[in-house]
Amino acid sequence: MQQRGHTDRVYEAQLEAVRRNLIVMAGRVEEMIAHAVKALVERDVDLARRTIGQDPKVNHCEVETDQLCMEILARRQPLASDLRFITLALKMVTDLERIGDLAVNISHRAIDMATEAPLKPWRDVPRMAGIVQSMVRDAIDAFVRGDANQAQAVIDRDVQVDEIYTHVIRELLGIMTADGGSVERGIQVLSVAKVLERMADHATNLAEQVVFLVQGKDVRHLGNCVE
Amino acid sequence: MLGIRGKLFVTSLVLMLAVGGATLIVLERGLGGFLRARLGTDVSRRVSIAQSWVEHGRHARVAGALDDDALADSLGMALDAHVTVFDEHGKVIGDSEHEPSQLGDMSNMAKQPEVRAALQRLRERAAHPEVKPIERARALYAAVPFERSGDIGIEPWRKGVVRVGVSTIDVESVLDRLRFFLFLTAIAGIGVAFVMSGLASFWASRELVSLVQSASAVATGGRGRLETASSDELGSLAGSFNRLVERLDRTVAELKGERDRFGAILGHMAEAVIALDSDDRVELANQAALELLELAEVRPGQPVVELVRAPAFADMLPRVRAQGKASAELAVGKAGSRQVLARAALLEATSGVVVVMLDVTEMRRLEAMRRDFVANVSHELRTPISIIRANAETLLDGALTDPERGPGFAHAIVRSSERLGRIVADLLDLSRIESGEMPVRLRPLPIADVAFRVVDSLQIQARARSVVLSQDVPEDLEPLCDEDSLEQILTNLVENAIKYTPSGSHVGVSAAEEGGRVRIDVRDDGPGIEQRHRQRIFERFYRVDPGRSRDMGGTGLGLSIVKHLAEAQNGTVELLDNEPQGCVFRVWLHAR
Repeated sequence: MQQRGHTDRVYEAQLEAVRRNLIVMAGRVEEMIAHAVKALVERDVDLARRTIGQDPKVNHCEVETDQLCMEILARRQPLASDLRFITLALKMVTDLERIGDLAVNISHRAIDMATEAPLKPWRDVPRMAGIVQSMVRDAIDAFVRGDANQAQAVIDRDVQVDEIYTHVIRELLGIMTADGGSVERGIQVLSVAKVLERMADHATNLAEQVVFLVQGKDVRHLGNCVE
Repeated sequence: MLGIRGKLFVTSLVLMLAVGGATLIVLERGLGGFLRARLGTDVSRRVSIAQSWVEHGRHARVAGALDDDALADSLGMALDAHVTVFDEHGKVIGDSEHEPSQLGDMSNMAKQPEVRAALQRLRERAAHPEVKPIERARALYAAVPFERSGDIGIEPWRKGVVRVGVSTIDVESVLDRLRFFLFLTAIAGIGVAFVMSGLASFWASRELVSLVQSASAVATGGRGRLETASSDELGSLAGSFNRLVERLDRTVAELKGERDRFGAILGHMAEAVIALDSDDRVELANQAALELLELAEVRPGQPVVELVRAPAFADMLPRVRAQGKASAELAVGKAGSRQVLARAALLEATSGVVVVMLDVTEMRRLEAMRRDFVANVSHELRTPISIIRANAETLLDGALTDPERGPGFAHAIVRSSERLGRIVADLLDLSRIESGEMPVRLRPLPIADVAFRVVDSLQIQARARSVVLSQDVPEDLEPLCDEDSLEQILTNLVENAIKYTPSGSHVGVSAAEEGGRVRIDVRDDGPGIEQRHRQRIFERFYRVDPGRSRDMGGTGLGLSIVKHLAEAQNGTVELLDNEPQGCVFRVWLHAR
């Protein structure tokens, strides 16, 4: 994908730079998700702080990519698939940046909860985090390879995350109802699960954009769009 | 575009035509000129004869007067020429080709240049210059003045001009025949030149064309040599070409060998190697790199950030370009499960980068284990020591004489020192097993007895925690093992299971033979063990839940001892999931 020859080498290099920026940014975000959840499970305050420290780099990536895209739009007036690529890159950086922010959110929870005994062994939250991480990775993989099928698989995986989320809510409700002392910790865990669920939504956005980029087909809001 | 043969042909044809043409032109010009010159001399001589004849001859007379026309006629006859006689005024007085009656009409003949020149000379009495014949109307004319001294009384003094004209038609016809002849020769010459140049170019180019053909065969990949019989320049060219081809073949073979060697070295290196170009695109990646990064293939020219997503790698690239060298530790693989040390170096010549990556997962794990061991062993030893010290101090501070509380402190000291003793004994056991000092006598042993003894001895403990203990070991299983070691293994595993499962749980010992080995399972239906602990649970002092296990009186060395004892009996131990919940510790021993 994006391998067609442009007569203008500078233009070619700019498009390539946008692509690489997106990949590097996705790599950072992926790592942030993994580290945030690891810090939470292992009660590693230091790792949580380092994860929060990664956020400015992601933000920097966003700003840089934005500027690059704007410059290409203003100076090159891209057409057809190039235009689609640039506009989607603009949207994708926003989603990636949001996921990064959410990982910071989990890191803060990890710091808060590090001093308390866990409510129960972590099982569903790490599973959710693993799925979300793989969704971001696969969405970007699909983007790199121009693979609409892989992107579609990411979209389908969102359902799994939602199911686990519902399960976690129910379980936590049970625990908190039974033991009033666990409400505070329960709410913390709940908020982490909520954050992961939102991350999955952003990853789904990424994948939908990849489908659009590859097939030129809009798969957003299928079935719940007012005609 | 003409081939070499065509060029040779055209060149030789043009050359032959040019030479032939030049020859013809020179021949025609030279012969024509020669004939004309001869005719000119002839005319000059004839006019001199006419002059002397007119001046000195005895001539027929008509009525005493000289008959000039008759003179002209007879002169014309004698000289085989057209003779005209003019008087000193330029009037024609005799002509060999005209009747006297017609002479009056010929007055304009005096205006002819040769006549005028002769008249001029006559008037000026100029000396006799050489007579130049003048060509006009297909004839050559020459005129000279004459003076005839008359016989006194008979003949008057006469002056005039005599002109002789000789036709050039003879010469022209000779020349025309010559030209015709030359034309025929030229046609024949062109034909011969055509054939000859064709033949010549064919002979000259035959060798060259065959050289070119075999050279292009070699160039398009065919192997072979240029064969030539000639010993001229073409022959030496073929020789040079053959030497060139041989050298090329040698160089290619050397390069191929080099490449194969290099490829083999790269391919068999344990370290992953990736070479990047100046634009951070992959130029080369060895097999180890593909395995380490869990990639099926790498397209040459693929941006490396697509392959290695770890941010630490992306951060390393600008550093290596700035400093020439850089290194980073990163997590790679699908789940980020492998820890990799990447070292990058800048290639000055091409401004590419070579990255060497080493899997340090195991090294980091061992480091963590050693660090944890030191921390754990100090911690484990410090706790009972501080208890002993605190209690001893309390006793010294007066509790020694307190009959009610004193013994309590003393008991605490005893308990802690027992615990210290257990830790030290376990550590010693471990180091003895590890160093092979612990005697292990392997012999076929009916393990049902051992299992029964262990379960029996732990029944009290189990009942105290309301854990149901059962055993189901077939009597006929006799794997190769050491009785004491196996007893300790089972004791540790069953004890652990009793300690760490909630009351009401079931703990069972079972065994079976499977594929030449005997497996002994200790299973429980407790809460199970989280995945992330499984790899480390057999490490010394590793605790899933540190606070709880210490309360239970564990030393943190039990499973470590199990593992080492199993290995000392050439067996293994593993941790599996029990269905629907709980876990299974499975010991594998060799069947007899």
